[in-house]
Amino acid sequence: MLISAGVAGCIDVEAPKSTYADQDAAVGFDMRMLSDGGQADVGGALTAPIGQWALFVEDRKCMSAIGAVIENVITSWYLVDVIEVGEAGEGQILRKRVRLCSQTLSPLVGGLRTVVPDAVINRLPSLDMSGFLLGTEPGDAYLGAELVAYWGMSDIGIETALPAEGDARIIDQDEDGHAGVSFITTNALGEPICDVRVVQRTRVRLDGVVDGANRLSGSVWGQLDQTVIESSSPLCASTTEFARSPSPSTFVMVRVDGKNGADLNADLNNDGEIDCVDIRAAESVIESSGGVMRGAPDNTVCQ
Amino acid sequence: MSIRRPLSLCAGLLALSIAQPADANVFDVFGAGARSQSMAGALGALTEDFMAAFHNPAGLGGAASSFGMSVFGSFNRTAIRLTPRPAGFDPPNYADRLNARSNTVNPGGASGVAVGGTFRLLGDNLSLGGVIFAPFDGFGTSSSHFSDEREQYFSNRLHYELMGDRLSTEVMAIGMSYRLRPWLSMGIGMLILPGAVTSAPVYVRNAADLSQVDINVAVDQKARRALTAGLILRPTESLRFGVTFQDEIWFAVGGQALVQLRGEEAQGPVVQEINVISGYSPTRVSGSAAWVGEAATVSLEATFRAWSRYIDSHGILAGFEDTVDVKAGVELPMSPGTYARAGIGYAPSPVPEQTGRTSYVDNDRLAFGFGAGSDVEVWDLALTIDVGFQVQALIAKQVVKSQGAHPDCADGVQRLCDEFADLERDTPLTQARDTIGLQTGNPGFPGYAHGGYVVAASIDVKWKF
Repeated sequence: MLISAGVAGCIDVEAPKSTYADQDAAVGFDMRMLSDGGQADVGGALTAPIGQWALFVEDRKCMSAIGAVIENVITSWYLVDVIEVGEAGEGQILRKRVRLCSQTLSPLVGGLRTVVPDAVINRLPSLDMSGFLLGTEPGDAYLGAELVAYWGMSDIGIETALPAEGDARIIDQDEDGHAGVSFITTNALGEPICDVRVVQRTRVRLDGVVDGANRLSGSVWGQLDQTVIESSSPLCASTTEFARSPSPSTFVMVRVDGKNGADLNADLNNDGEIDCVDIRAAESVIESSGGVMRGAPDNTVCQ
Repeated sequence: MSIRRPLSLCAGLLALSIAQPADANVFDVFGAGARSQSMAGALGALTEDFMAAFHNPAGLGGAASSFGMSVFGSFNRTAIRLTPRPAGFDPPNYADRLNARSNTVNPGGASGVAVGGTFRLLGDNLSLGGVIFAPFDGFGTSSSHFSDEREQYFSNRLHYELMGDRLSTEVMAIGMSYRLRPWLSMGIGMLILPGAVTSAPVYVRNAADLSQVDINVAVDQKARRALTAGLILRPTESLRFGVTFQDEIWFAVGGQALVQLRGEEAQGPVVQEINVISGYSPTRVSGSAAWVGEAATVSLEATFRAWSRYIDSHGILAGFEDTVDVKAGVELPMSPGTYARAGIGYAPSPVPEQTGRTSYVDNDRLAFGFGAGSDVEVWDLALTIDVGFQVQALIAKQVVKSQGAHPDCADGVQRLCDEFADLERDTPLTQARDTIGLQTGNPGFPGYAHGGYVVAASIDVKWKF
């Protein structure tokens, strides 16, 4: 009797009801990249280029990371102000001011990812450069002058060897108290696991065609030279050599000021100006419309 | 002649035992042997065969030279049922965990054989004895688990903290007893658990393909010992008192993996520490009293267990509470050489309310035992055969995780914690709105219930010579 009573009292194990109500936030974590986008505008002649454009650059590199050779896709969004158009025979010379608004890198090994903080992006200067339109009709060629950016250093030439730790040419460009610029390495959840201070030189040349009145696209030649100054962990410490991937790097430039019949006006806050805040907000709009196709890395091409 | 075989068998089992990792301790839970099981373990003042090496080594002094074996089996009808998760609390990629969150229902039982013997020396005043329990499922059963949100990445279930692997792992106890006076015996002995120290150099040729790695493994066996000691007083022919002490003991696997990444050799290997603790058995002090009468033998026992020093399978001090369990047994002579036995015991759980980050699962237990024993003669051999049954009822319990503030998960945080800190603005990888409020994959969130019963049975055969 005693045994059966004791056992019977223990058999029925029912889970208690939750005292937690459903929560609105975090119903499903949205781990997509937040900076992307594109809205195509194909067809017609590019007759009035002056205005503001968003430039999407997908630069593919082969690199060695933690002993593995992988493809790394560096995706950058720039704000391009076409300030002036000059005649050059059959073509046009575009004088433009270019500013990097966001940059994301594809995951490395095991979900590790290098994140370029806004603090770095926001302190990179705008660059004045030119581009050459051989014609204004769809299919006519477009050539951009080389865009060279120096991150965390000054007084460096385009072919000069990068400075090493202790070199006076290294500057605290992102004003975080450390020499160079600081990148963060995160795990697959976006949680920081280490940070690294680097100097780097990025070189980008665009070679494309006119797609329409408000869009250009084509291929990218890019080169990235980087030196690690210091790191919070050996995992992030190794200096990486980047090589061009056999897969093509591409760019798309779309008009975002709503002028000349452009579909998109990125001045979402209606302050009369388009800046990097607007470009970042417009990225998802542009990409979701299919005007920009983001590609995934393919490690096999780098083996 | 008669001693060599059991010694060689014991030596073989000992070698096997030490060659493999092990866990403690089925004797802690049910008692050692059929007589103990049927009397709910209340044997500290009465034990007088090789099982005394565990219960009270002083009891070896009253034992005749003997050799025996005990076959043990149990089945487990316990359950841990989880409260369904409310919406909106999932951390990133929660749906992609290796295992879905699930109940733990009717985990497997255990079975094994115990072999032991006692031998009188020096004019019967000095006795040696020992017992080894070897599970049928094989040696070295051991596993670890996390008690907090980290378990979501592994089994994604909850586990009984004190009733799981302990039921299917090796136990070895040896002891020596000296009868100082006819009314006083004292004994000393050891519980022995093997441990292991591993070293595993790993070379990763391609960090992008972790299925292809080169591994060497070196394992050193290390035995861990715990002192046992006891006294048995017989102030009168019928009255007996027993006191037993056993120090804490646990099985440990330690060591490190040294991971070398191709291309990163200059940085040196990544060192991954291994520290797995299993089957912690706490310091215990038992006091027992028994009346041995012609009509019945009655025994009472109370045991203090220092669970407050309990370390879990990852070496974390779990914050348990010390306990005192009580048990009582009776043995009734039915005819010359034949006995019926029964017992009852209560063991409170050392696990405090689990409303916070950890989800250690354990229940208060009621034990009911019954059995019988008989002396028989077969082929001129004096044998004793005992059978014992024990039912342990795990008194059902519900756990509800506490409401209120949920700090970010960090070392030392004991409240249910937020695995994803709230962001003030979007980052390149995460939208801030997804991080607001509590996100946790803790298998014990938002609550659970656990209980059930375990039935164990043993049959012992001892040969006195």
